[in-house]
Amino acid sequence: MLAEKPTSTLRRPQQFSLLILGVHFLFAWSTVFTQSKMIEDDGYRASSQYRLWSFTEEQLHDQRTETNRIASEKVRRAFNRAQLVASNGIGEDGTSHPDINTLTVDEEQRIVQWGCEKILEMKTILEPSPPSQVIATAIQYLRRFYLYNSPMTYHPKSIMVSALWMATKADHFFYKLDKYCHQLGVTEDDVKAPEFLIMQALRFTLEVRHPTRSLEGGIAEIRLHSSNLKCFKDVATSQVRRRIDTAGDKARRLLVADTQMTDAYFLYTPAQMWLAAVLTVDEQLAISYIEYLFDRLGTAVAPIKQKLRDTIIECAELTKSYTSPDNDKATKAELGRIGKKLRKCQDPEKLDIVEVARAKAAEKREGTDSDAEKANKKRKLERERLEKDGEVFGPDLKNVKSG
Amino acid sequence: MAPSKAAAPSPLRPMSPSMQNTTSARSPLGKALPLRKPSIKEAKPSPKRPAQREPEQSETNSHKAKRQKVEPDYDMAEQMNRDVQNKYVKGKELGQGTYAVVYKGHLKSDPNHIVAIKRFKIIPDMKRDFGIGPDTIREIKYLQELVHNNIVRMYDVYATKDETINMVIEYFACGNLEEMIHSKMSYGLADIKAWMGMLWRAIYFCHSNFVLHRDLKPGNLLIAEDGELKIADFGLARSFAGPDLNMTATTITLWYRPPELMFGAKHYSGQVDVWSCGMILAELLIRRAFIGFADEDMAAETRQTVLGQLDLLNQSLGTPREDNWPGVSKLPDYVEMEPYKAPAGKGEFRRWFSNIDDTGLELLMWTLTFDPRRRPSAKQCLEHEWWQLEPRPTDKEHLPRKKNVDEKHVAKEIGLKPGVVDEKFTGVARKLDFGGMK
Repeated sequence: MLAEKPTSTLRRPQQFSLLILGVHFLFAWSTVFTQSKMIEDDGYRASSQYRLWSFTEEQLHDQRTETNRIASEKVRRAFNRAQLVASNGIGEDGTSHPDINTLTVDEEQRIVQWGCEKILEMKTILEPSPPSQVIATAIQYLRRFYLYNSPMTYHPKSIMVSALWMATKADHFFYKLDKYCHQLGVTEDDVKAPEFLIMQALRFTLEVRHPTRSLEGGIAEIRLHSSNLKCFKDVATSQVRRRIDTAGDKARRLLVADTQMTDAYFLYTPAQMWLAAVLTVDEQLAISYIEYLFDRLGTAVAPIKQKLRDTIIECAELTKSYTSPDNDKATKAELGRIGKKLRKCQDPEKLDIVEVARAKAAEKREGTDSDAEKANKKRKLERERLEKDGEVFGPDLKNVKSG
Repeated sequence: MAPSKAAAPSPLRPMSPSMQNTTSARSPLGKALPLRKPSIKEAKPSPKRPAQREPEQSETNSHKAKRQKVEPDYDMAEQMNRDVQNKYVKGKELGQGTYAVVYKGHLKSDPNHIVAIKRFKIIPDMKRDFGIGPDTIREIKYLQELVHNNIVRMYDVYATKDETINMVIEYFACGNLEEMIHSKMSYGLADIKAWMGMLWRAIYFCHSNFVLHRDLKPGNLLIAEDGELKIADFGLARSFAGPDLNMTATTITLWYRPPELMFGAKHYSGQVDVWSCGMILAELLIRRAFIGFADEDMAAETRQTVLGQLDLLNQSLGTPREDNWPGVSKLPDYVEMEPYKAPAGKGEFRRWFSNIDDTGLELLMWTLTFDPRRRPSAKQCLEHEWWQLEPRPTDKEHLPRKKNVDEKHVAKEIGLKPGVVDEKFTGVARKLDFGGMK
């Protein structure tokens, strides 16, 4: 990465490191790092977001392909077992069902995105409305969950309410469980049962570092240095202020919605994301700011400038690539098609998470005798439920558990 | 990351986790625990990664095949969890508490590396059902991020098949600072300086990671075998809240709670932890709580005990008023304290604390400033002149500590404390429950 270590030519690469990785907090940056050797990059590198949840595009794609492959195989085998149970009552056979048309990686992604959009909608349903940060954390939990799980195994509709519930606890915005459930039209078990799966898939890392936090510091800094920015040459102070505020507001809105719907968190640092958001809403402002910072840092860092600009432009393009399905009929139709397809390849053994959790508990209580028998029965039951199961996507959020 | 070991150690320089991983002599586990490798390369599929592991492979593994009767194929997430679990061997039980059981354990690859495994119990409790307890979530959340020499190290977390959470933590056998204070062992100013230095470095590190500890007290400061002081118990910790969000004022054990919280402040900063540090420094000097009303048991805390504590503060440190703390009367739970006493001056502090030099006394007075805006930050404490003066802090190897505390004790340190301080106030129990279990 950039800013690997402070060099002697750089007096103290504070703004520089902020730009690259910074997770800086309002006003805190200005003095804290001037004397210490530790730069903010070190702090970010130590975070679980960097250690476990940062990827190159290629790594991300490979991981998803692998997850999809394993899940598809599992689904085929599960269907095969279910079929065997249905025909002769014995269900142990390792072969896989050839006729199941499983989801592709892209289709999986589309469904995960649907789940993210639903979480965003929950913000308007819940009273009091959770802060955007909590919503963003929940969305990132969901995205991280589906890096190692497939929607064919666990449908987002059964994961998303629980992911949001966990985010409220991790980000200190508490609801009473009964109230929470009532407002979202789910049962308490629906919320609690998947928590464990989510914790495990998140690899027990619960912190998400959001770009909105760095944005506040960034906007404050832009304000502080506004007189030095090229785009504000000969502009009246009142106008400068208004323009910065507008850019900040727009960027904030972008970061809590559109950015959440993309892979940005996996691919970029919080500082890159907020700069990209400012670039999207006011290109001239962002570019002047970057120019100004590099001017201050001198020629030693010049080679990095182009790289930084490219990275930020890439990140901005990614955010722009998102279109809400509400505005697009074709996207909506496509979502419907995938939903129908998923109904036919949903892992019958994991369909009801509440039931699976309950069975696990029962297994623990009652010991392990006749497990195979019980499991077969369970599968048969679930297979029947699957056949009865109506709308997998549910008409609206409140009826999301109607299946 | 360059392991800049040679750099002159600045008091401000907390051991960065990346450094810890490069200095493997200090953390023998650094290499053995891929989870802690702060490298993006980790994400790249390597032969070791579960992503590359075929489910079929695990089927051929005989003991797994035996255990897994009907479902030989795992999810990838399950497999990753299994890999973590398999790094450790769980040993004998050290003790049981209400919410957790603590086991001794060791690394499979290195039996000499002893760890403690804290296993949360499943307690079905209909009244307080909210799934995984918020303070379990918080403790895991923050310990995953905060890797520092003076913070209790959580090596790993894994789930067992019966859906309980297991935390693999550093093993402690040398007690905590509270026991040190109340023991017959002698220690001097240089030792106190060393402990306070370690404490402040840890707190500075937390604060620069935007985390408030909110329960600093001698009982939460554990002493490692090599003498290093480690802050523990992040069950009450939280990230700094933005100005638009309120935080709870009923946090931090009463004796170590700053006045702004007793007056109900909803917005506060790292200065709350600094006040606790000041109280700890005072306690280390006089070997008893400096200002402690009645019993410090927070489970029994009422508005009455809070007022009692405030009254003691008033009698000793002086009366918090608008003239020494502008804005104090606007805090939600502000009460006018009587009778009026002028803020304690250096003379009074000198009488209370005869065994510290003048500069140290100044630092102590500064940390016990009523007005949080004038109280120093952890960074300012570390930059204080006191650290430049004699006596130099004792090297950690030479710090006094108990040897070979019995194992039951270890369990207590690691989280079986019977008094769950926050339970009453946040409606949060240290427990774990799954809806599906009932």
